[in-house]
Amino acid sequence: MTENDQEYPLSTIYLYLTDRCNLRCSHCWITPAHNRSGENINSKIDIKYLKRAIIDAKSIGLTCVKLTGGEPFLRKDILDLIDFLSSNDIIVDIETNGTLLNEEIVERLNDSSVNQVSVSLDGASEKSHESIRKVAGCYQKALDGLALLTKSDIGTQIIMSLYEGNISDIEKLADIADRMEVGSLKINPIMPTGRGKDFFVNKENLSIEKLLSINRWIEEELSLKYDSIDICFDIPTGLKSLKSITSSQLYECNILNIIGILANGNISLCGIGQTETDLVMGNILRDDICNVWSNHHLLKKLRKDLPKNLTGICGRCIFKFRCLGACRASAYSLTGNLNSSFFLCDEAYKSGVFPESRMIN
Amino acid sequence: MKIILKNNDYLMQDLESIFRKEEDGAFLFDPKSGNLKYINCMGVNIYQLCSGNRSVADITSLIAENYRDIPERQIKEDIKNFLQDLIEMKFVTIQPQIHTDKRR
Repeated sequence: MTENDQEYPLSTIYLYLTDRCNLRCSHCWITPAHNRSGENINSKIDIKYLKRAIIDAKSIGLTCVKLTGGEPFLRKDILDLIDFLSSNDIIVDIETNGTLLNEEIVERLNDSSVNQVSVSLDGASEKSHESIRKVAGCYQKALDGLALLTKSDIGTQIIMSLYEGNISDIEKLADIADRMEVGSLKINPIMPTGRGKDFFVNKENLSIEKLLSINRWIEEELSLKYDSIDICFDIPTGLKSLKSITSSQLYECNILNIIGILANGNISLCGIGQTETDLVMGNILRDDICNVWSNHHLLKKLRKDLPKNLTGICGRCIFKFRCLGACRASAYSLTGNLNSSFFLCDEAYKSGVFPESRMIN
Repeated sequence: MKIILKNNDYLMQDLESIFRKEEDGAFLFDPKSGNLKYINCMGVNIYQLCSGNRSVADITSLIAENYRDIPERQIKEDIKNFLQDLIEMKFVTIQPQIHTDKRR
């Protein structure tokens, strides 16, 4: 390890295993191509290159890999890859739509180093979930997949993408999570990236005032209703209450310790390289991931800029050292600048609802 | 290195740190290092007593008086540990001059 690698270990790789999906979600920021049959597909990149990149990355701090996509279970060799990661003591987290899980797969996952499987559920009914996910029958399949997971020892999570049309599903999804003994419910407001941009054009996104009001309701009422599930509303740290910051798990991006590998082997900040090709820094077929991590100018600049050169309200926020400007991918997607302020914090500031106690200068 | 705090140490808030009070407590922030510490209401009271003219013994006694339901030994130990954290994070400093004078 070089001095630089010790200061910025590459702790997590987001592995976008495929750029195809068997669903057609209208908010997806990765915008995968639709794979109608739902059957396993041949991969764009051979597993041997992924294994090599993982072994190399272990030397610069890799401890965790998140498998995502597209739908990661579309890949034929995902279980082989998970076995490989397990045998190398890498913790595995998986994000899936849950529709392709079966008993055999869950059994294999249970015998591996998989820590948590997050299943996307955007509504608590067929109508609500499938109105966004655009494929009939996917609600029941996702629930069935989740039920299999909850019978295993694997950590489980429901991920909900939130917009104007499914606010009333939050509590119902929390009830489902509680009933099924799912570990946590994570609620992500839809972002203006990829297909999510249309929600903003059509004004189906939630205003900052509404997001803050939902946040308060979750913190002060909904979370207290359940003993065993952790409910996380994914808004920037600077907008959360002090009590929530100190008492519950925060999902912060840790952009300075992660990298994304896309389905074609491209190395990117995260999945954003799928739509913002300026943020692609190499390809594992031809480039050494350790060299990219240590020497690529984009990462060097990011390390130099975050958090001290953040602009706008993010530059003035006391939490910038911890939050690092929330999602840098969306900041770049919206402004072409990795240092610009996060759109939700910017909106909060302009609307006069950003907490004054969190501002400096 | 762990700081061993003495009862006759006098404590002073670091003037460059930012203290922000909120509904459920407060936080301290050091703009130079980015260090951030969340403190509850009791922590706020303790921090506010670090004004340069009170010793560790003064502070622990004043706070302990308001929490008589907690065993005195336990609360004094908790307060000392909290003060040590504040010092290690440089939100509070030990006053060298008064410290020396008191020893004499």
